[in-house]
Amino acid sequence: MATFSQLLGTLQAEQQLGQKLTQGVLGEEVFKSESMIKEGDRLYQEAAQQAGLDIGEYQQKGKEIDTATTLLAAAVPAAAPLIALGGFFGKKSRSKPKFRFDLEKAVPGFENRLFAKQRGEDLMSSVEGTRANVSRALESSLLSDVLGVGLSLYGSYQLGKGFGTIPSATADEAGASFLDFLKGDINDV
Amino acid sequence: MSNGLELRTLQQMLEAQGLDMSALTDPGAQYGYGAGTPYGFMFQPFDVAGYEESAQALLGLEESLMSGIEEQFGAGGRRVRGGLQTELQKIQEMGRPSGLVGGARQRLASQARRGASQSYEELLGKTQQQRISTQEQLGRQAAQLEGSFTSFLGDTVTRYLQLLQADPNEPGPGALSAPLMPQGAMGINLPDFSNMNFDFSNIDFSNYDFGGNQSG
Repeated sequence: MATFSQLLGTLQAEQQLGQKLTQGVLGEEVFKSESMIKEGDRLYQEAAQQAGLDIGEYQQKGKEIDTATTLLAAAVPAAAPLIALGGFFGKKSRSKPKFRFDLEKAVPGFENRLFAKQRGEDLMSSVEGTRANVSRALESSLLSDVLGVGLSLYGSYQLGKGFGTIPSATADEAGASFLDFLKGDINDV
Repeated sequence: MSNGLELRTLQQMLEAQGLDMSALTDPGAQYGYGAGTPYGFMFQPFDVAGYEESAQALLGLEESLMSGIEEQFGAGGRRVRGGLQTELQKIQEMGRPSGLVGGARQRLASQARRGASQSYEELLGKTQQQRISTQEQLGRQAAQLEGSFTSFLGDTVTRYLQLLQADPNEPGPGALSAPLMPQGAMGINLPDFSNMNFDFSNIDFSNYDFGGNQSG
């Protein structure tokens, strides 16, 4: 039969071992949760950076269409309305950049992690904020497209007058107004 | 002086802390992180059977050590008595047929009795010393055993705080329902004012001089 000292020693040793083991498990789970947050943050930064590049590319294409529209409409003022319409639809046909980022898909088990609740919520909030910013940027681009077409038409009108494709006002003639240009009512010089 | 080891049961110690047996079998439950939650495995149950077995062994050890001392004392007493008897008999024999006279014999017998009495006193003192030292030793061991219980409770609180520090995703539904400090520890016995509704809205402070004097 075991002595008291032996039993007490075993009890204390088992208790210490149990504490160490559960502490190890706790540490492991904390590490896992922290790793998930880090991985999620890294992937989110990449996705946000990509969304920024996509938006830049989208805006660049819009500018290129505007420039082409301006030059074409200035060269062929009679077809300016059609060219402007083509430019507008050309801009609308650009593929809209989207910010698709799902933390749970990017980091499987993210939602079921045991720890780092606040940091996880901060990360989710950043993701939602970026999503909202991207969709706001795309919403405002509709107005910008319409304005862009108007400005590029006016630019074409001015450029056409400079190139001489649009008759300027002289002492005898009034010349083509911007409204005439918009209507395509231009007599070639 | 009280005899015997006073070893409290787990139940008594738990009651003293305002806890029940579940604090040992499912320690996380008191903080809302019981065995049924994903955090349950971070709390280790107490080895109740091991504790009780150790307590029984300690009581058995006490019985064995104390009865050993008593046996030794009994044997020592018997030796002293036997020795005295033998010596008295020798003194008696020395008087026959023409040996010691009555006065000398009585003096020798008295000396032998005094010697025996002194031996008995010494034996008694030694036994008492042994009793005290054994009781002290048993008391230390009992404290070690009870210490395993209190250190378990302390470890549970530490684990709960570590868990909170790691910012758990799911807060325990019963979090903080259990005391973080053992009963009797600083602050735990303060009166509970939580049910008292103090209404200060009707007190007019305009007449109070906060410099120290009250007017009006």
